[in-house]
Amino acid sequence: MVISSLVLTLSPVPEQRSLALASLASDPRIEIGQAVRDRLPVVAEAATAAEGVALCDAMAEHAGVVRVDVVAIDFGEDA
Amino acid sequence: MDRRDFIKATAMATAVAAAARLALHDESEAQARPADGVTWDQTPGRFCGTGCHVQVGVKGGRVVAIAGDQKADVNKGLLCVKGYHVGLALYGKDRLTRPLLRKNGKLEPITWDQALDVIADRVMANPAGFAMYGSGQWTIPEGYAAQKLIKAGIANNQIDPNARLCMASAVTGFLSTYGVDEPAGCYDDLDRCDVLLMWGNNPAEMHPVLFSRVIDRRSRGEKVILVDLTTRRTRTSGFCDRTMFFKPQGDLAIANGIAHLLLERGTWDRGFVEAYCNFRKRTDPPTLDGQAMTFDEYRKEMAAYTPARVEELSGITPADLSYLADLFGDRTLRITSLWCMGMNQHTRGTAINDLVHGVHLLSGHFGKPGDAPTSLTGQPSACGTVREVGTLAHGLPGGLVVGKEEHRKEAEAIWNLPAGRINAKPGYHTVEMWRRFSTAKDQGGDIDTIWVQVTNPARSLPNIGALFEPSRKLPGKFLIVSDVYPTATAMAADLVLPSAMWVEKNGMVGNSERRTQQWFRMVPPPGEARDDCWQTIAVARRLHDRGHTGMKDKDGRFLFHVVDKAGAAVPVWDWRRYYDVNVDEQLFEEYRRFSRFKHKDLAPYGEYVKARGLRWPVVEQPDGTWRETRFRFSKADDPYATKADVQFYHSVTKDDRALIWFHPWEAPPESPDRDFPLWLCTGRVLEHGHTGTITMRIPQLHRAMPQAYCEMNRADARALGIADGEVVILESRRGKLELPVWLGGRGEPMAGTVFVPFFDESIEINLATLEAHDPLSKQPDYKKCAVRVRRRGKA
Repeated sequence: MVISSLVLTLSPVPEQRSLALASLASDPRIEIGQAVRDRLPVVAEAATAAEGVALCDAMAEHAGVVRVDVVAIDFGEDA
Repeated sequence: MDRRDFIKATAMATAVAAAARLALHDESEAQARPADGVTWDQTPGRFCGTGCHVQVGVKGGRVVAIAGDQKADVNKGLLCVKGYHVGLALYGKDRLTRPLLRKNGKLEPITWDQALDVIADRVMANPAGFAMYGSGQWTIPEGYAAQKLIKAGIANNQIDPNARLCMASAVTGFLSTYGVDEPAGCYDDLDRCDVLLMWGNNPAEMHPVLFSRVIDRRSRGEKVILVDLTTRRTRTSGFCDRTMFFKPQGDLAIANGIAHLLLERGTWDRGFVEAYCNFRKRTDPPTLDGQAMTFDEYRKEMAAYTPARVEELSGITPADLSYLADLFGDRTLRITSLWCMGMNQHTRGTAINDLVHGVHLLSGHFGKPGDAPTSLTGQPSACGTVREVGTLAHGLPGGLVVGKEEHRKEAEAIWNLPAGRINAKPGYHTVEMWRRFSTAKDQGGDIDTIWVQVTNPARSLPNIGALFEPSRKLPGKFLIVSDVYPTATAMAADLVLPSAMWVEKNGMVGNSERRTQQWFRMVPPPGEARDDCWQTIAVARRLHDRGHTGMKDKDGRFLFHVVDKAGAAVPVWDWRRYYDVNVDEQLFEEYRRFSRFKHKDLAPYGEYVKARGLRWPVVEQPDGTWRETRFRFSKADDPYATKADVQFYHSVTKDDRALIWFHPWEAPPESPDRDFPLWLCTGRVLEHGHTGTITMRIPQLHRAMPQAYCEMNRADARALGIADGEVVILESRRGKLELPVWLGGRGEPMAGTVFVPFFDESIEINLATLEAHDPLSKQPDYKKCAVRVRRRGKA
């Protein structure tokens, strides 16, 4: 199990931001923390590092997400 | 709570703390990492010249976790996507684990002892024809040991690094402007600038952690103007206030055009120029010193670069040029220029570097935080190992050069060599070294053995059909490769040596802002893989034992004399004894004696163990602490600038003044024509380092960017009837290859140009590129040559 700590920078556009939050909340692999201004703490859990990266990439592609920063990763047994 | 819950809870706490820190700009103390059986230690990252600090978690002899280092100035606790994978870089399935020797066409396992004998045989048979080819990914001690072997031991100066291909023009630009290499500013400029001007630079992909510092400022409501001067729309362009597309080679005209308008409008900084600058023009042949010219002569030369003329040469409109001149003419703004390969991989690379420095000097945008012309590097230690250690063919450590007698004497004194040991004749620069390796001996090919460490010239050299491939068919040519994976170069080699990488060994590197960083070995290398530094010392010892006189100093001691705490010699050439002492520390302490000559002072090794890197000059204070320098030549921060607010104390003209150069626009050596109507530009992508030898082995990165492609302008593709994804033939006068086209993808080149990244070993774009190079830096131009693209089956 690969667990990633991420910080997402959210779009300043309210509609895009809301859509992004709704989309993230609907994915059971993603846990959302309390946003601090435009920064959203997120924990992503994936079966493999590959899935973790794909998840990051998908978040980064969302119109409501300006960028994804990686803070920490625990590779678990996938290392 | 099970382990998973524990890690998730910790992960959320970490993310929340980081979010608050970013949003509120809260620099409070970072939290400690939970243990959970994991041992944490710090190290710089592995993939680029940014110099991010990473926390590495180790358990059971393996790297199991990675975190951005919240105490690190450079990355402030964040990592880019490459950082996500840095821990996995060690664990590709095809790591090299045994020495291999080619016998009857096949690479077969041999022992280390046999491998060292093979290398010693080659050196002893023809020491003059033996060369090393290294890298900006060498650690500082690795590069130092290699250049000492070649310059103090074998004494033929035949050593050069791949960094010749990526930043040599930045070196000559700094030398010709300030008399000493490397940027005056640092990353702090990114936090203070009002304008960030990117000259052919794509930091959103190549240096994303640095770029995010600027974007973060914007998100906090600060006003920062971003200007993108480019030949291709990139991810960076998307963040910029203005993107200005210019014709390849047009950068020379743009810089001159800005200077022209500053002079014409009277918005240049007379006070700064009169106090701190002289003027220069080039000589024929060109030199770093050039020829003196007066301000009036400079002004007269610049008069030709009217907005109309600049538009003709570069494609930049008069309005855009005026906008740039307005920015530079405004002394209330702080302007940082960034560049990397776009300006350096240029047959007029020294000239464009000089001109950009010149625009900053002419306008007085220099010497204050945020006001700086700053080059970036692509490799972790292009600055630390190549530029500072002096692994270039003409260099010695600390900015000394083999061509100056007084410099050779200084080096001979530090190395305790007999007088005259160091050869005064520089070795061959990269292109020349490989040309001679790929030329028969009776036709002038006097290099017969090259030992490659930490780089992949079979894919990264320009025009590989001429510079690399012939060597593999010529009798008497012998290629040795030390690497971690079976790269294209390793698979073409005669002898392959398995190397340790990153946290499998001790190391030190130097990043783009003069920051020297250190780390300790954390996990063992696989199989029989061993440190490159050990390999170099072991070869030196084998030569010593064979009676090579160069392997002894003037007192008969081995060139790499390493001692324990009691002062007794330790036979570190025996791998079993290599980690009995800290070889890195002893090499570094010797090396840092060189750092005083050019005021690149380094602190003792132990200071780097305590810090997240220190920016030189690092000078001891009266209280015994060591202070780094952020802004060089500025009296406010640099301890060696004592006479004036700005003091260029290594001035070419010996009067503490920098040089503002005039260089004319000149045509590139090859331009599109009827037969080859398109410009080719090559470069990198976010996911991969250089030729992808490590990152392409990380499945996640491979999947994210699996294959190189030809990025075309959609109008060009339409005109040629080429569809997105179609495999086409791209050819130049030197070679051709097949690859898919990507339209409207990550980037889009200007009409008339194509872009191909070089990370993919299976798509040899350097069959097409040109080895023409800058006359001073000897750096080839990978950014512009003439090609054609056609559909398969079409003539």
